[in-house]
Amino acid sequence: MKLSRNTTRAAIAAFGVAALLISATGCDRGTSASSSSEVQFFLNGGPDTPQYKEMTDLIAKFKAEKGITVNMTAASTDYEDQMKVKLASGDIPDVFTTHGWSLLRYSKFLEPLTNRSWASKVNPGLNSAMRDSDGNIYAFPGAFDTAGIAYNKDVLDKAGIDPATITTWDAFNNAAAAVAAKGSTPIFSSGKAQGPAGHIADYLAADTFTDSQLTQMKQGTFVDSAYAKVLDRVKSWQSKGWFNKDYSSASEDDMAHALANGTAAFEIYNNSILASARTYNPNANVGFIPLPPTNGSTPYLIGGEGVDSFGVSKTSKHKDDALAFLDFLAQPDNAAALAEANGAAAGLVNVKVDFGKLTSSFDKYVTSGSTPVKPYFDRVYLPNGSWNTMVATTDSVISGQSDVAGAVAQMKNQFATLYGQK
Amino acid sequence: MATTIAPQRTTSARVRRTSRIGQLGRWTFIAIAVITQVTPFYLALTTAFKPITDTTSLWLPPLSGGTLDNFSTAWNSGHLEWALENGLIVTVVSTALTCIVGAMAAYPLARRSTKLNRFVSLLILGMLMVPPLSILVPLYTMLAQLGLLNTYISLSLVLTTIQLPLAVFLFTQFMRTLPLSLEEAAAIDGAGLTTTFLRIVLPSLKPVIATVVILTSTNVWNEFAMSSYILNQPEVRTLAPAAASFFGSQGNNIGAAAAAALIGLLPILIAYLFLQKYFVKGALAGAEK
Amino acid sequence: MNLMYVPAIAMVAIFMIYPLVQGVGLAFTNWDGYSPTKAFVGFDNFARLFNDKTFLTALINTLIYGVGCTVLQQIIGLALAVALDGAGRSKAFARALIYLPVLVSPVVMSMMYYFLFQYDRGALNDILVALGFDRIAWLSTGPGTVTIVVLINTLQFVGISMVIYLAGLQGIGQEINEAAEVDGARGLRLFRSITLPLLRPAIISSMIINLIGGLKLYDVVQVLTGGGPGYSSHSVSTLIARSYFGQQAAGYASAMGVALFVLIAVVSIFLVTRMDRTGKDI
Repeated sequence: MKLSRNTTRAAIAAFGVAALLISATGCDRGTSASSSSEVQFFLNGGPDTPQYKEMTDLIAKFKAEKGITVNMTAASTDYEDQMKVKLASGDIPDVFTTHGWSLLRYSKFLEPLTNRSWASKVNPGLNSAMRDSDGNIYAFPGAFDTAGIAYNKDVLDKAGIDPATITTWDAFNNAAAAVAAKGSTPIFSSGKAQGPAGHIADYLAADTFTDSQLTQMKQGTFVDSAYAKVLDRVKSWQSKGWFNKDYSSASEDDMAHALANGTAAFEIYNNSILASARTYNPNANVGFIPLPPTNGSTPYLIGGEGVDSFGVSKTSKHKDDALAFLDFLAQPDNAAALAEANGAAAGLVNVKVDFGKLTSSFDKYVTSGSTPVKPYFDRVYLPNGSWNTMVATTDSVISGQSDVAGAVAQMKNQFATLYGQK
Repeated sequence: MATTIAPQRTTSARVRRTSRIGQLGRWTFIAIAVITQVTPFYLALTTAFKPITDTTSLWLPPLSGGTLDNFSTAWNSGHLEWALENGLIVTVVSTALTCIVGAMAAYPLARRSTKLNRFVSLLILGMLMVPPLSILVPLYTMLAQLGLLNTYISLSLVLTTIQLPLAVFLFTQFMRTLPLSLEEAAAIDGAGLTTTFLRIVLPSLKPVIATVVILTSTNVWNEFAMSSYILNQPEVRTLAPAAASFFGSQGNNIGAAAAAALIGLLPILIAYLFLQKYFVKGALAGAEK
Repeated sequence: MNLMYVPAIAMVAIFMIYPLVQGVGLAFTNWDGYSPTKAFVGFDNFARLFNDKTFLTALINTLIYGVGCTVLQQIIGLALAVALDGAGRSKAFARALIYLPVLVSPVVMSMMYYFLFQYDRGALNDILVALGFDRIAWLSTGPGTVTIVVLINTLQFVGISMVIYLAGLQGIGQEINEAAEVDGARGLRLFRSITLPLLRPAIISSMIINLIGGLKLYDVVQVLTGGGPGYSSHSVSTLIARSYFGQQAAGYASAMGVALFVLIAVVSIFLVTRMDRTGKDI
């Protein structure tokens, strides 16, 4: 008896010491969950990125205008993982970044925003990726993400290539061969970042599948012949040694460096890579061109919901404040500032964006509206959850770990599994 | 060879020669080891002092003029002043709890070898092998339901639990080497369990406590996986997640990341140097039977 | 007296066993990791493990990481301990510098090593270029990446082994001298026949710590190539994270977690009992 009472006392003392240490720190951060009257906002973007800084300013402006406090938390590389854990546990932020997945992944957690005043101004190019079959939209598009082939003009000049003339894949291949002959890397990508390889296949697929094949895909039949065609093209580049030697270990940061320093000619990736390149070399002579057609007749861009898109949780306890915050972000001046910080075109048609040094490329292909914009292939034609396999299989072709047939089979398998789950 | 000279002297000369060669070999080996271990830190240093546009070789110091920008970026955007304070609170609390709870648990496990206790030892040690991702979502859900996310106490308790198995292992091993005679004498004098534990056992644990403190505090200070989920608001974030936030999918800031890492290294380095001499003695804990 | 471990058991039960049991339950579902719905699929996920070549690769790599790092850490750690045993300022200084990497988080350490092995701006390739050689793509092959991962993890935590062996050497210093006087043993023979057996307990604890660290290896792989090229350098831990979050197969990832737990348990129990037996033979 005596023993156990003493032991209990020792245990209580031990926890007492710990409790004392926590309370003795004399600050209230972290001693209780944060105030519940604020709008919780979860942003995809590191603390030193331009969009984080712009968002900080906008939140302060919003507080001054409406008296509503928005509490922003940010994550960068592990944003998706964090977001999934929050959704799984029911600890869902009032407002959060949907980074291209407002429809496929997040719509069942999101408040429909179709009736907001800005919703009618959403760029029609975003319809296929952001609106469901009933026309509902679930996020405010802070950007209209466009993608094509990013290039370094100095490298192309040295090889005697004018980027404006690259309107067919033959022209692209000739250009790549000329660049390789000069000792530069024709195509730079990143295996480690687990994304860029998938972008290559995604962009190519958008024009490799015929309309009837696309319909088949939507109905749940994987068309392996067309997908093989996509990877065959990638394989042909790989076998000529046109990818960067450090493809496997290169990061997205290395992609920006390669473009900035003129070690690489082309990157088949988001146009946002151009803005990153400029942070390393403000004078980098970079731009982008549309992708040459495979089935169609004219070059095309890929466009879709950008990283900076934001939705409101269906279960939010501060829904009105959260919606007011999105409406505030959608005001033309604010939306323009946000898109500029992101180096992307605006998601709303009534917003004018200043592209700075990239103006000529954007004007020529995006603003003029003359270049057709196709949606991200995976968002429209592949079931949710396929993206990672698309990245991994393309990666295995570029890194020589798998042949085209093996990669296609793996993709087909994943497609069937996920489609069955729907 | 010298046949007339006394064998004694040949031997000693040879010994001296081999020992001189031995010394040379020994210090060459040490030098290689030290250079290998310090090189990454040197590269981090040059990176931290170079502006982002400086793309000269990492081996070179910032020749075109060093900059403190990375440090101020790390400090201001990364909110390192908060991160250091948060890290300190969580580390001190977790380390103290690990020592107290761990030593208490180890005492009966070391002194009473019953079937139940052997099972308890194995159970606790087995927890070393749990992959963190296997428990993340259920744990996070539980903390969210209790309203304990973004509180120091929840992360401290979780990290203490993760550190406990190793601490209990080290404490148990060390206690087994302590002679029973003192405790028996105390019992004859009529001392209770608490008195015996606090007055006799705990003081003799000093060296192993130093070991546990160093290993635990290093692990907690640098813990990333759990910390980044449980404390994710900038006000309460600890150091490793704060430093890692500079590696982003859009725009890595390697200079700021290196600066943040170096700032974060300082406190734990000071703690280590302070505890080092006890540490070497206490590391024997697990090593004696 | 047994009540004294109640706080520890309570914490372990609440923060590890309870979530673990729930996590293991997920292994029998097709949960995607975030949706409110999931379906029970029985042993499907475990059956899938046996046909998954990627998992097999990761399993083999995990064993290489675990065993490779442990063996190297013991050899280098012991050699360092012997070289640095004894008093003296320079030795103490060297000990502190060799221990330095233990003090930084594995994420940061791996990033620093990434600076070394990068292709274009990497420090090693800078040396090669300065000497007139071509750059080497260090991380472009599976075996090469696996080797580099083993090296990095070994170097980061070799300090812990060194300290444990230093402590062991100090503990047996007296015994050695006495034994040597009787035997006339010296040098390598002394080391093999007397020092090493006496260090056996130190070897066991050092190996347990290193082995579990190596088998749970995550950060180095993640930072260097993210498991690439292809899947060739994945450890089970990185593959779990990839399946769980990336491929939205949380149920399958949980099954891998269970497999990893069993693997670590089996390997460590095997090694501990084996070490004990060889110990008794001596």
